[in-house]
Amino acid sequence: MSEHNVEQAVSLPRIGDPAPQFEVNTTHGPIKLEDYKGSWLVLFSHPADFTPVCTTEFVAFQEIYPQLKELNTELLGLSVDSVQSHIAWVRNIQEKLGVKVEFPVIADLNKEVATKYGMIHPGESTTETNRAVFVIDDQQVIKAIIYYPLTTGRNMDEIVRLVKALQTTANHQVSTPANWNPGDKVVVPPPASQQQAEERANDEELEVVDWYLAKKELKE
Amino acid sequence: MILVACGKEEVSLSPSQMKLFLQAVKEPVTAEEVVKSTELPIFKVRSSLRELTEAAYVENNGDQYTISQKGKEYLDQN
Repeated sequence: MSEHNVEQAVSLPRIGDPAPQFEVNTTHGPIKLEDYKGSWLVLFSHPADFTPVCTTEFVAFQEIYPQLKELNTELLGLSVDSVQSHIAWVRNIQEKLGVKVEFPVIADLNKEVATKYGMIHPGESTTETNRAVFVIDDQQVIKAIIYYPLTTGRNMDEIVRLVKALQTTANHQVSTPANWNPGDKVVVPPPASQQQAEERANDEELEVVDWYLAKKELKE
Repeated sequence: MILVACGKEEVSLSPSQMKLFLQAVKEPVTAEEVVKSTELPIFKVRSSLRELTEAAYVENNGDQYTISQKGKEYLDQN
């Protein structure tokens, strides 16, 4: 990778960074990112209104919106289209598919947010945002990032699972193993000393695979 | 900058949303109290109160919001 490319990559937000602030026009009127302080946010982009994969995704995002709201998590969509285009599209989705899209959608006509969040990947398209997902916590820190290409619709169950896992980590200072779902055992941090490792190996409250891999039930 | 073509409504709120928010701020209240009384999400309350303040339907003093004379006139006429 050239020095120029490294510089460009560093400018994009990464996990653990403060989410870049913005003030935008949406289908719900003007919104600032800071309006979401205190709630979690799933900020996602789609390539364009009135396109087939995006339409299936919008229906699917709306289907998980009630679950996300129960997790104190809001949804905010984005594409490089106008508010009028977004309005026409969500009205068309309601008319043709019977689904009312209730979350706001950013009209990012000048690509300001898309650029700040690295949602346009020129190798794929220089004009459309790809299928990016940024999970932003209640302190406005980026906790997870997912990128899918234009051709591939996202898995909504995974987005809900991801939010639940991130919130579990935030609330209980634990990690979650592969394919974790609420109710499953969580992973305790690896021991920081030899003494910790020895005591952990004999801890009856833990499911110890070996000194570095131990799981436990999560007590609410 | 927000791009606008062919003019713009004074606020983005619908008449029913205007009435809901103006009723909710008849007495000085915080955004958090408006969330409780309207059961709307915090982002919607904050962004709407900001719009209504900028359009002079609501007055903002610190973290308190109160309906203005213009807001009272809107409620009387609608």
